[in-house]
Amino acid sequence: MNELILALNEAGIRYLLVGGQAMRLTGMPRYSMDWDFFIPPRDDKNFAKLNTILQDEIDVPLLPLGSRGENFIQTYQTRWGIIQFHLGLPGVPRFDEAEKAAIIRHSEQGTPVKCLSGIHLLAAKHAADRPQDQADIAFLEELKRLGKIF
Amino acid sequence: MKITDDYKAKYRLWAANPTVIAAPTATRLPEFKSRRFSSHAELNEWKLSMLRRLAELSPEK
Repeated sequence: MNELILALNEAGIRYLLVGGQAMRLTGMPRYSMDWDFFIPPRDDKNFAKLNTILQDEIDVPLLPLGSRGENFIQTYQTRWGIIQFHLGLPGVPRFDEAEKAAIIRHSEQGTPVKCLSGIHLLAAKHAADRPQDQADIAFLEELKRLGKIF
Repeated sequence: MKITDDYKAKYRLWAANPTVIAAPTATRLPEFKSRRFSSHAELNEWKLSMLRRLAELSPEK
């Protein structure tokens, strides 16, 4: 996945890592089998660049959000792992606002990764509120209590 | 009370010293075609079916 993140950064792709992998990069020892990226829902240039980067990996192109909410989440299995693109995220403001609050975290290889902020991650987890989100919420709330949420 | 008796103690320990652990390589995932969903509810339903397929493939079964 490091190769893909480097390519996204190099191409100036607008993305925010969210979900379990973002939790891991906040310092929670957590496993997730997929990589979730929040991307702007109707940025044509961004979609074009993303589709170019992913062209050898995906069988159908990544599409913008439809007028009736189609394509809200798009899932691909790639050689880097399962990648899910989210064109919206319950509990979180529009992409543009979330992007302004983004935090650069670093992967285990030291690669900078644009991540959803801790506060927005917590909001997304509260909005989802599934049984599997409860551990993430407990960890983020503890970071918040310690004044370490960013 | 030992710290291990407090289920939430791990969150305090992790938050006190956040550490990025390496992501393990996922193996033995069933092949699937790209999918598009209109909601997280749809996605979660599909994910559950994938996890069931994974469980069926488990050598521990």
